[in-house]
Amino acid sequence: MTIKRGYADGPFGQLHYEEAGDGVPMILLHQMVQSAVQFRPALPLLAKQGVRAIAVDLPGYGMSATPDHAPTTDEYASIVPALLSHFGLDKAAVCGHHTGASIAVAVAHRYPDIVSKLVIQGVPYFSAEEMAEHAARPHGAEPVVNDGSHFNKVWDRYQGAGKGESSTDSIQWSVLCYFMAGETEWHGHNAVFNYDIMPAVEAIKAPTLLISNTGDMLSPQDQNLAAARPDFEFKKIDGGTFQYVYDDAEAWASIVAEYATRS
Amino acid sequence: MRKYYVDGPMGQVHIREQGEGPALVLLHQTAWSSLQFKNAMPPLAARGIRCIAIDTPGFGMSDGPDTPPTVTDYADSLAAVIEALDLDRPMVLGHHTGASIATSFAAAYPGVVDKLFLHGVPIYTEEERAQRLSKPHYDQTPREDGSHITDRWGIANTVSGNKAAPEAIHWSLVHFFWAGPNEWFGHHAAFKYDIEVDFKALVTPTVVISNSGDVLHRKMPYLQELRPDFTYASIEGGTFHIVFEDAERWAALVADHILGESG
Repeated sequence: MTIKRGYADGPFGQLHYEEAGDGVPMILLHQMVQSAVQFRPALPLLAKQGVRAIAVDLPGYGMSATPDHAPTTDEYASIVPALLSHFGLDKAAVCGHHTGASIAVAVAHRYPDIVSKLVIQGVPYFSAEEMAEHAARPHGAEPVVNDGSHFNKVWDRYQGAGKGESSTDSIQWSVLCYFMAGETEWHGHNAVFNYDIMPAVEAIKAPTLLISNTGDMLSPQDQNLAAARPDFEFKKIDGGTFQYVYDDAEAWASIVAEYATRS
Repeated sequence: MRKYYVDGPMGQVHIREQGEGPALVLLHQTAWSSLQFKNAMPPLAARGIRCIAIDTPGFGMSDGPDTPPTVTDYADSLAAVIEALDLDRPMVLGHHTGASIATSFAAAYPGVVDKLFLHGVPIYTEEERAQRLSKPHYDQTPREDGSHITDRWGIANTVSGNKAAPEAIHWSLVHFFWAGPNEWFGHHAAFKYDIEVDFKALVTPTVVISNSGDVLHRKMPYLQELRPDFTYASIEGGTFHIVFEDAERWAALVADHILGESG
């Protein structure tokens, strides 16, 4: 099944998306600092298993227009109702990974009527104190330098984040997406670390699948979240890195599609 | 600036558009995308020109073919785009590989193009073309340490005579790797194409642009000899990234020729 790309109008300007399939609609929200490219291997697989998978570039990432300020997580969430109205949909499943998971939580919290199911993975489920610590760290995009070593710096950062166990393909896309985002690449993480996620998680009413892979840096936060919401379905996977969605697309898509299409 | 897709013979074609007025189709060099004109489009639009910059199939966000296309194939794709947009006698401007496509298109579809702009015409002798085609393609395979990117940085910098701005090299690299393993299709088509035949046969009013810092500048006298009836305009200095690096000066020259204020 081929991937079709397009644009929808959103609250921060044009939203770029990649889409495959015609089954149960699902909006996919990517991690930082990537784009819908993160879901490219998974889209046709989801489509084959009964999902209409719509992966969107978050505002300021991929091909989507860049906001004129650093948005909050709730502001990022407001793109989902805009997308649904573009597609003429009343409801959809919402699936988010890392920063995308934060935003998916905010969508379920703020717009409970439009979320049929929620799938979240690698959730930045931090306490307010932990959030403040993260938010206080310096941020800013790696500047372009004369010898091109900025590519190495970002490459090494991503390789390190997966302890060298991510595929080079996934690292390559991450590096390219990082530089596509440019000077405002820090917006997404800024939103995550200034978001009060715990009360939002508490308020979620949608049926929820929490996926966690043990090789992901946010795996401990997933465990805490699973304890806080024992009613969520919890799927634990051994190994993988923060690139699990890209690197193990087949296994990942089967889990997500099974949950999305289950009646 | 508005972005969108239209369907072409090689799949979806990605387009950036800005401005209102007479339509000017912009075709980029290899391996860039419509983003090459990002800095030039605002000043052109401010002069009352409707800029329609197209990602050549296989580059930027446009779908690409699986086997190497010819310049004629790219020109046919352009014909489909112009038809889909219902453009009535647009002007067409091409830079380097884009100039090859523009030339082929104007020759194959006489009467469709109102005015042709060619910057950096890749007119090579048969020996030059054969020599370039015999060179191996750069191996894009991602290496664990990311050195495949920085090695390429060195090459890109050397090719520009160490004169291009790091920002231009940077974006050319992002595009190079974004296009992926089939990136070589663009130059392959350009060097397979015998532009001289079409260039001599053009019936479209044509402005040939060159800048003295461009490798193709040395071909200007030969072009003038072939078609003394064309208009010739030179810019002092610059590299083959001039459209991106020195966009204001470049756009002013193009706009002057379009609006009949070239002196």
